[in-house]
Amino acid sequence: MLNQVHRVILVIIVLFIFVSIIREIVVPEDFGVAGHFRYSNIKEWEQLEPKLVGEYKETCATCHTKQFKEWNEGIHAGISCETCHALVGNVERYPGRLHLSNPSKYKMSKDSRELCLRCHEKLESRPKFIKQVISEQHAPKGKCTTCHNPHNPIKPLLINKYKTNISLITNKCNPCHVGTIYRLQALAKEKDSESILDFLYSVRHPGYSVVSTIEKEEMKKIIEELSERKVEEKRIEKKTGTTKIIENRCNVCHSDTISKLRNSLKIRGFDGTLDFILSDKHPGSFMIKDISRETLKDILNEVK
Amino acid sequence: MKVSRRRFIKMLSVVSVAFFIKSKIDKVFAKEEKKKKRYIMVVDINKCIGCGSCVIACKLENEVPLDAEVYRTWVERYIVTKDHKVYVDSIKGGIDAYKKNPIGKEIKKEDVIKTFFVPKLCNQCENPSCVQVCPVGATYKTEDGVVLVDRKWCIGCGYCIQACPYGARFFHPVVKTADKCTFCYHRIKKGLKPACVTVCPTRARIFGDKMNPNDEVYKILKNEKVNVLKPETGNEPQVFYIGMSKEVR
Ligand code: HEC
Ligand code: HEC
Ligand code: HEC
Ligand code: HEC
Ligand code: HEC
Ligand code: HEC
Repeated sequence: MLNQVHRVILVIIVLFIFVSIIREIVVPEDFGVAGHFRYSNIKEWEQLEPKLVGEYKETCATCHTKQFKEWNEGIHAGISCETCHALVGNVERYPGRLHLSNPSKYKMSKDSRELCLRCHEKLESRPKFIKQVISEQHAPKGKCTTCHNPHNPIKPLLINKYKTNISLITNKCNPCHVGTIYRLQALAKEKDSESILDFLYSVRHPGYSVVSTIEKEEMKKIIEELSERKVEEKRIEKKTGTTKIIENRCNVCHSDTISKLRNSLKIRGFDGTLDFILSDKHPGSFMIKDISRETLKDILNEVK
Repeated sequence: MKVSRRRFIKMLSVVSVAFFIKSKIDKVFAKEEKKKKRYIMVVDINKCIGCGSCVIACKLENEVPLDAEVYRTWVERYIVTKDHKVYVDSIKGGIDAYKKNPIGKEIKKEDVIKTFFVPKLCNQCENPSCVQVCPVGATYKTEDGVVLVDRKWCIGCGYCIQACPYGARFFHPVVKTADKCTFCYHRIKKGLKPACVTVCPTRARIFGDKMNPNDEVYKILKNEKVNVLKPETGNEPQVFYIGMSKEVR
């Protein structure tokens, strides 16, 4: 009787010791230090190497000063370099840190069409604050960078640059209302600059504190430029109609349409130029589809 | 053994001093408790443009294969129509951005009341149901509130994947364990922002420590109306949404 009890107890003790030894071997030392898990795993996660440069975009500026400056002044300044250069592209995609370690081995991608349309293709679900285009109408094919500087796309490349420091507006005002330039321009066409200034620098404007960091004179110059902004063009003497079309339609993209035309006439000849302007080869053709061949003929005749 | 009165008083005073010191120490620790970090994310639905940059950045940063249909973070598109039907789609998690528009084709344009994008990720819950169901203790919550998976310890049973009410966990096709968003633990511990936050072009994602009064997220939680996904589960999610309508689940 007693013997049996002893035996059972012995078996239990042996089992207990056996299980304890197994547990000691299998379960790591730091298990259960701070909870029911392996404590050193936190360190293992912590010690992984970051791959994206992230918010330290200044690192890119050490080698790419020009691009950084353009970007910093432009409307895309809120967008990390890597959003455009590491994520999209048909080549291998490399996060910034790899590029830093060996720039020519790990090239960053610089695709533009697919990239721009990720953010700018017209979609119902997309909030209205971001400007959107219907790609088939706006630029049916080719790169977006023929006409836009990706680092500062606000105005297409071909037309004249602003004289005043327009980046003050894009950098300081845009966080509160997107598209400030165009709102300001619309307003400047209606009201005189003094009354706009009065409003902006008064407490009635919720952005007062930000606006007051800009010199009033500077702001005045910007507003005046916006109100007068029209593309300069050497007027063609005599005749009507033509000037208007060139000014209103072609100059949206070209600042020197006439010399372009003359140049093209020399290279392509009369019919060649006509064909070119209307064909898909001309990047601007989508915006001038409504101008008839006859009208263009008149223009060419005049310019010639 | 006999205790003299003197000795008794001595002992009493030593014991009371000891208790006093202990209570002080406790208080100091309690203060440290308050200084503890609690990482959270705030997502502003009004700002998301559905470009999918976060989805790719996350995969690159955390070595989740780009072409595998598993995501640590993903973007959903919601379309709510007049008859209160809700259409939700997430084409490849939004990794290729949303280009096609179902509105005007399958869904009539005039029927649409509202439509928007919702970025999603692991909610790093205060009471994570995934941690409760793990049979081996391979998933846990750190002191700063991030839920992690121990890749060496996970046996790949998949209970946690089932248990998550948000579908935020998946089976990692390469490592062959359960996997999920870590808030980029290796970045945030070095003072960097999570990958998805750094690449977002419109600052729709904001990351921070909600215990720190100087942090942006602290101020947002204090001043703005924020919601969480599926509050009824009792998981207490720590990813907060601004501008979320009731259709979002
Ligand atoms: C150490 C200097 C250095 C730094 C820092 C650097 N780059 Fe570069 N980058 C280069 C060089 C050199 C090239 C030219 C590589 C070549 O064509 O062989 C280059 C090329 C590029 C190109 C063009 C690739 C091409 O195919 O033409 C891009 C885009 C680019 N870098 C982006 C970045 C970004 C974004 C960063 C910040 C994360 C960065 N770079 C940081 C040196 C640098
Ligand atoms: C909105 C997207 C976008 C952002 C943000 C952006 N880039 Fe670019 N970048 C482009 C595109 C698109 C091109 C290709 C231009 C082309 O087609 O020639 C490019 C070209 C470049 C090139 C190569 C220039 C050349 O002539 O080949 C460099 C270098 C570069 N970017 C650096 C940077 C750096 C540094 C930053 C951050 C400060 C930055 N980019 C931010 C879109 C972007
Ligand atoms: C990752 C998203 C993203 C990508 C990629 C991107 N953009 Fe943008 N873009 C934006 C945002 C956001 C704004 C609005 C910024 C604001 O208004 O404050 C903007 C503004 C613009 C504007 C100014 C619109 C206006 O207000 O008039 C133009 C033009 C533009 N982008 C063209 C481009 C082109 C061209 C490319 C390709 C090289 C490109 N974008 C790539 C996000 C993007
Ligand atoms: C042929 C030149 C050209 C090409 C190519 C081009 N754009 Fe434009 N883009 C323009 C002009 C000109 C404007 C200004 C139009 C206006 O103000 O009405 C503009 C304006 C824009 C705007 C602002 C729209 C607005 O509502 O203010 C966006 C966004 C834009 N382009 C994106 C793109 C994208 C994305 C691509 C590539 C698919 C592209 N562009 C290719 C000429 C071009
Ligand atoms: C702190 C946020 C904030 C900043 C920064 C800010 N604004 Fe405003 N602004 C507002 C608000 C809010 C309104 C009134 C609501 C509205 O019309 O959007 C407004 C109105 C305006 C209006 C009148 C709009 C109209 O159509 O009548 C103009 C013009 C304007 N702002 C220009 C600027 C300029 C220029 C700057 C930069 C120098 C600037 N704002 C900076 C918040 C801001
Ligand atoms: C949407 C922008 C846009 C508009 C509008 C536009 N163009 Fe162009 N055009 C371009 C671009 C981009 C190019 C090619 C880049 C370049 O050579 O400057 C080009 C090239 C040309 C060329 C050839 C230049 C050469 O030397 O090869 C001619 C000629 C020309 N355009 C005439 C016109 C005329 C005339 C109009 C008005 C009826 C017009 N364009 C309207 C964008 C435009």
